Amino acid sequence: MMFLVQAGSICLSCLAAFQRSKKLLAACRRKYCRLAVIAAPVFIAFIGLPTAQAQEEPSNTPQETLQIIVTARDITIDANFAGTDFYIAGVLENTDPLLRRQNRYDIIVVLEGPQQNIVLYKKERRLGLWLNGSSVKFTNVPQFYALASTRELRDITVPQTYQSLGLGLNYLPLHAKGRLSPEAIKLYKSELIALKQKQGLYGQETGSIAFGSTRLFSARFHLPDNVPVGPYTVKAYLFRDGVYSDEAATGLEITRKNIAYSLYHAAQTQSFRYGLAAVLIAIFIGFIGRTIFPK
Amino acid sequence: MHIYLPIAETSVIIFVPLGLGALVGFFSGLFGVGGGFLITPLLIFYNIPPAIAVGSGANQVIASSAQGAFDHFKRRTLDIKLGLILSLAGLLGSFCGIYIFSFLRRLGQLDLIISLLYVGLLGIVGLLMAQESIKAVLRAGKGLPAMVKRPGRHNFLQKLPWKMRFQSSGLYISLLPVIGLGFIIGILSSIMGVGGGFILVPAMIYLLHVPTNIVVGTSLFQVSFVASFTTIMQAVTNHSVDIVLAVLLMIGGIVGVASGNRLGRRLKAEQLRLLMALLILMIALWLAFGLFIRPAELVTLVTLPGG
Repeated sequence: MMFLVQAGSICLSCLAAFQRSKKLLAACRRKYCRLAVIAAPVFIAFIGLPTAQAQEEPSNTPQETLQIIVTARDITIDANFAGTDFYIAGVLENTDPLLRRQNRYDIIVVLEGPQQNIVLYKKERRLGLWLNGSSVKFTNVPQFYALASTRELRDITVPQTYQSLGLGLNYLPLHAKGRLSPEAIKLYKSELIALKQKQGLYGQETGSIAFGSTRLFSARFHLPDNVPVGPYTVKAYLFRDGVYSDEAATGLEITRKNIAYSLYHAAQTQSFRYGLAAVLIAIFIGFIGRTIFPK
Repeated sequence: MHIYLPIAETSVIIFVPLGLGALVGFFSGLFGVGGGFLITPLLIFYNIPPAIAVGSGANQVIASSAQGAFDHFKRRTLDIKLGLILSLAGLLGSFCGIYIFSFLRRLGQLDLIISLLYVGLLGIVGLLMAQESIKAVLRAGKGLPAMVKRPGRHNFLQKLPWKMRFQSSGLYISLLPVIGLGFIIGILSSIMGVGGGFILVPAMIYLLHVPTNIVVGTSLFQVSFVASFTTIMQAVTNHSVDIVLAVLLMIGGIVGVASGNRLGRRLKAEQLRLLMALLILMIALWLAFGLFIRPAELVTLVTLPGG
């Protein structure tokens, strides 16, 4: 219960912060708009002109950048964990207001979980029986991969860009070990991704990024009830007119807390005592059961 | 209402493990088997990783079989001497079974061997029991007296040396088949992750000619012994016992075992055997279908430790 309340209050304060900054920005715009109109030519005359001369490019707007923050460094899993929503806030800087208003900036945020080595067996039919046949080993496979984007991925940029960035489920860089043809590996890869999607651990969601103002945005992720624990990375990518322009990264940790942690820790470090305790508890519950329901 | 399983690393609705525990406990109480052969496949079906299903399932089996064993002990329908000898031989078998287990895993076809063992053993045991119990039920229906077989009159096992008297069972038999049976059950239980009650019960009835009313209690005693051993082994070697999951299963199991027991006492012995035969055959069929029918997922994902 505590966790839910905590998560709820974090979400609320997050939203409130958004609202506040939205108002502030709007106020700023109104107040300084006229001032800016007057000041801009003067400013350019003093500073802008020499740089404009130095640069040959027609556009002299500085490179736009983005920054992200996670509202909580740790996400804790307690005994009553049932999945949760998780927000990542970000800010765009030096964006062209016109382009922004025309929605020509796109953002993709990826939340990636701890890595693992896995073996994928293909089920094959031999003598009428379905059994594990040929296999392939994948190293450093993320256990969790969630992608949030402002629009459909195919509308944001071209496949070549995704390929070079290793961005999106279709271009996830998975390294296979074994002497298999590239086609076979590709097939295994898509089977692996389909399996992970079915388990709710891999996903891409369009429209889960919301703009709080022209510069602020938030990306919403759902952490399912089977979310793996461990270190996570968050990476945000900014595209301008379909051209990759900047990225930012940060990390967070999903950990067990309280009783969930104690039990896990005991099972790992004091396994014999843990096993013995499990046996004694079972015998005790069996005895209680007989006492409650006598014959 | 969700609860997080710290070892399985997933969150489940609390009523699912409670319900599963009750269902398995019901059969456990009815037939005097541990229920390991039921709970493990059911947990895997519910997306619990197989190793954790085996470890936590074994832990739950202790509770439901101990509950029954306590009851039989109270009603003096438990042959402690026979149970202890079976259990000790079972531990020996378990040790050997662990080596066979790792050998099969190195061959890469552990899943297949386990499935074939399940289908083969359950199929044979189920068919034999069904055949015998249908005959017995039909005889009872015609009003004939139940077949009275004088224990071991024409049984080759009777000719073996090292005889021992088991007062509670009213038996005077050789130790060799008892130890052999316990040993084999031990091997099977560590390979298949079950207590072995579904094999032990018919074997005690048909091979050792232990009276049916004593069989159930003694089998439960042996099963709780072997399951305790399996639980500790799993906890130490694989860290795969999820105590939260197991306790939920146990709590559901309390109710299940009690109601299974109640129904069991209303049924006649041969009817009980027929029902158990049918259940065993159903599971054998279900597992056999899994081997021969094209699976929904054409790949199996195995996580390597230390990734």
